[in-house]
Amino acid sequence: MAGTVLARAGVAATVTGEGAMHHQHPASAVPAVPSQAAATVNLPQTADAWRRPKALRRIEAAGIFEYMDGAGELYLAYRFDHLDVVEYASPADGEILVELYWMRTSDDAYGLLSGDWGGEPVVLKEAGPPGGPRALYGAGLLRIWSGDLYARVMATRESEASRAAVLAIGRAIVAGRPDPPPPRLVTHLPQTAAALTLRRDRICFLRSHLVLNSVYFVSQKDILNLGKNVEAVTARYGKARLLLVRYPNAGVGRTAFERFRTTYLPEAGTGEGGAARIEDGWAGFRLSGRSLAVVFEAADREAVTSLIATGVHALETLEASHE
Amino acid sequence: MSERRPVTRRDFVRGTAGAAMGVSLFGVGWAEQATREPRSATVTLVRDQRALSASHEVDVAVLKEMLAETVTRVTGKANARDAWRALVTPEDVVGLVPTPHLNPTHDEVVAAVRTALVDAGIPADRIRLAQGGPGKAEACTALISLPALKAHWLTGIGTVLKNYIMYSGHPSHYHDDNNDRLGEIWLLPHVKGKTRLVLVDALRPLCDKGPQPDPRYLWDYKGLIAGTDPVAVEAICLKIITAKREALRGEPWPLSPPPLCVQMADKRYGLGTCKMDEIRLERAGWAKGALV
Repeated sequence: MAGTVLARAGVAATVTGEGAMHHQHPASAVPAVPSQAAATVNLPQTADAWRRPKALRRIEAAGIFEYMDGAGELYLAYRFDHLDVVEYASPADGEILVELYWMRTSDDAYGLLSGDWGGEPVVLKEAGPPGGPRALYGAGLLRIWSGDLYARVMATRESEASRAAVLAIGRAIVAGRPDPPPPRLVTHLPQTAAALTLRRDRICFLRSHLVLNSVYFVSQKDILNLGKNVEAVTARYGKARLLLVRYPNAGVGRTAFERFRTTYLPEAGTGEGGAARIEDGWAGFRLSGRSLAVVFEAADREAVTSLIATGVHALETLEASHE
Repeated sequence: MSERRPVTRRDFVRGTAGAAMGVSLFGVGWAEQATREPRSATVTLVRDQRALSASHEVDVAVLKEMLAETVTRVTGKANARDAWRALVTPEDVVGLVPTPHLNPTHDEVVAAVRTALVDAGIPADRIRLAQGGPGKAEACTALISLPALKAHWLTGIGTVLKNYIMYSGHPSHYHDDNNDRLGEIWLLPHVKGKTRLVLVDALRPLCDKGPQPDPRYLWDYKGLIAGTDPVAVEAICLKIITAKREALRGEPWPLSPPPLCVQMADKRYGLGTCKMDEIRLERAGWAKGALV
């Protein structure tokens, strides 16, 4: 029985290899790695009692709203290319839905996973890369970041058998694929700042104010001028929140800086940055070249100052690395 | 022309100072407030531990009992037949408006309402599914809104007010920055005044935002929430969702973005009250884990 190689954007799907798999022997079930492993996924035809149709459904960016009834904004808020969907079915055990979101970069796929670090971290490769989790499982749903691919594998009825099948499909998805590191903006986050420790379960990489607002509401409008050419990370240190934003160039960064200052923190003065005590604690910001560091809800002036300084140092280090 | 100043986090925090518990998610300082007489609304919450099986299947017999209990409490009538007849008449064209996506309304709830209406003497051919574009609402003289309880990643909560978004004919106009305008849909000529009952399917709510359901955030609440004031019903839904989120994380986990649409439905559009001190919650049945 053939597995289907799902090709990267714009390349027609082809069929290759033996794809049957059983959760008792997942290693033997993983199909041979295609030659263009970085851009493909080889889905098995069966996973234990679950079987899928040969055809997969392709949803291009223009069709994602129809697929999700208007809920496609999340994926379009990152740099979404297209989606491949297939459903495995078992007469006795329900369905397993597989959604493969192909993104323009690994950073975008990471961003989708980073929206929620909850769930059980699972290792899908024997020699998995170091660092934080790349796959999270909970209540029947497996979420995966694998290079430029973000995948959701969800069983409609969770059981020991469905969990095993979901994980087996997950292993097939990541097999042979590269594991780039997290976004540089994320890896440059300070581990500690103002005597506060970075909460790794509250890191989110984003490009859109819609995503920012879904994690931490700042404003109904996009007062930070975020967008597809902007990269940003938000993270918590205790109760305080640090937001680092990298714009395409210094001009765009300055425009955003001025808009944020005017709209959100006019008390902070007219320099390249500032801080003020506001309704929910201390807030502050500083512009550094094309980058902006913003702090919300710091406990006191010392904390906001320290967090901004540490954030700016991280941004300047990243900039100096010419990444 | 200068751009209207956007609502920010600061506005919310400023507006909540001293606010009564239960509306603490909403700002008030920035809202377009009208002077009103004191208002009141009753919301009914009926729960039954038997409503779902261990595998989350609906027990339709139990659901029927819950539904009867709910409508009699909402209307104050002695039995379900009289209760439904107090809400709609045999001359009405009754539209049932379930939520089709992201934690959809259980089919059993829609079927139970349809059966109850027929039992109450409403002709079956005058009952229709009315979720969809403006024409669906135009064709009805009475609407029964049947959303399922859920959070939403763009509007904070996506239950009562959002359930009519397709009636606008332009759903994208109410997404993103404009979700605070959801209430105006209820005032469109083909919608205004037609809603006889808001009945929320809270059998198995979703307390995080989507856009696709994450089963970790579904739980068996086994409830129906109902009333004739859509904003009051939404406010109770919001309390439940918020309490569940905090219970899950063990720390404050406010809905984000905050549900602007609820406050605006009250203050700007006058659809009802979101103030907990103006809402009387009438409870029946299973009390454990009610969260409100």
